[in-house]
Amino acid sequence: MKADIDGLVARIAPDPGPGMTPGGRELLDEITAVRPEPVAGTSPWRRLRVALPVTAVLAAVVLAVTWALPGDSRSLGLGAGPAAALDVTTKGGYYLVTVEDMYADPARYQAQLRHLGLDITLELVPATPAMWGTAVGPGPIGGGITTIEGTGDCLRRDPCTIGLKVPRDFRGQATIRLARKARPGEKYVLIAPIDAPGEPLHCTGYAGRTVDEVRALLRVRGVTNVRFATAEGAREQVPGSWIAHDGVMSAPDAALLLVGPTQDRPDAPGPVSSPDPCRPS
Amino acid sequence: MGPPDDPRKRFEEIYMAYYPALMAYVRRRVDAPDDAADALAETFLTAWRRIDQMPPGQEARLWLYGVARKVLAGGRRNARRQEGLAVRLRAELATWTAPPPDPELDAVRQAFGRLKDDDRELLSLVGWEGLSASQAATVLGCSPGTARIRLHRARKRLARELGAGGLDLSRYGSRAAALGGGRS
Repeated sequence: MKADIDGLVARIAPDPGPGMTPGGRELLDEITAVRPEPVAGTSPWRRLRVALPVTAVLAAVVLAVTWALPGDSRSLGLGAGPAAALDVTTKGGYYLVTVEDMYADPARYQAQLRHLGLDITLELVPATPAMWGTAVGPGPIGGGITTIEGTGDCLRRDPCTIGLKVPRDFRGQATIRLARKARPGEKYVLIAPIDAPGEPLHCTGYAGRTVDEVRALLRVRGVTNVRFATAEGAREQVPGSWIAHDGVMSAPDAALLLVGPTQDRPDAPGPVSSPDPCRPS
Repeated sequence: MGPPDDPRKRFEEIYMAYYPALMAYVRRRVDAPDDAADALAETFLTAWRRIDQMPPGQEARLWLYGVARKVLAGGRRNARRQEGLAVRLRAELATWTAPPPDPELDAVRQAFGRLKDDDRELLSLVGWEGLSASQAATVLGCSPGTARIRLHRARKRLARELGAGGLDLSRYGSRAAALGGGRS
């Protein structure tokens, strides 16, 4: 007798929200910016506030950049491939949807999902290595959709999302974005600070150093395509004595640095990364 | 005593594993996006401060639900609003568009809404978070036996509310109908 009532309650479950998002990752960094304290005593917040200007604004990932990516920030296209884009099996009352072709035309994912009667929009977007294998936007979605974790191109300790588990009677609407590797020449849609784990300047302390020095750091890491964002807009070249203040990888082989003539950060709208994400272990 | 590993690493693993579940828990119980973001921030901040007390594995999720429940009950979340925590998360939640609820289930929602808070929370932990009675007991801090009895009664009260609302319970399953009809 209990199953029906519980099932009925389950069916009125409100929307679970977007799951893990860049904001969720940022919150993790904000919270752990201060070492845990014993419960007794005052809130750690006062100390956390001090740490916040460094870590709060952008510790993880940005979806769109203003000072970054001069020109077009869209991907260069997701060419259609041959076989099925998704592998779908059924298990119990669920569809197990795994991504067969990471580079398929998005319309092919949609077509397959619609064919199953699922109103789910799945996007595979080129991402910086720090983001590979993560689901951005929704995690578990309304109606009991969850992500499937497995072995994949995941750089970090994150669970690597390789697919979705969808109740076969799912009748809602959902949009899910999975981060994948970028192809050569493709620009990132999901980016991370250039010193995030997995990025070329991780733990190099590049911020505050000259453009020449940072170029050299990048060169030894195989990145020779460097462009610049300045207070006056995007530039292809700047004096080597200028100072690097921030940076992202805009494509697998292309860096974009926020630079200015002095140690004062230029006033350009866009993400603000933590200067040094290295933390003592 | 404490966790064997680096506390940050351990916290990060727990956070990444259960953040979506906690997000769902909070979102389902809090309407305003700002409040939800603040409650989530407060929950994980509390968890970070008490990481030594956090149980391992799946138990951590139940423990986190318990923390979130206290945060929601205590209204402490509002204090964080001015502090600048979870700024991006607030913006994300403010623009998050949930799929519209199924209007066919409006009557069920109304009947559910007429229950007392305790009944609703217990039924939600089972129906929304997918917990067993004994897991719900862990979250609520009561014995498994007590949770089972309370759950049975809560189910019965919901069935009655559904019946009182004039719903044809057979639409939702014969056993729901039987439960709604048994008034003694």
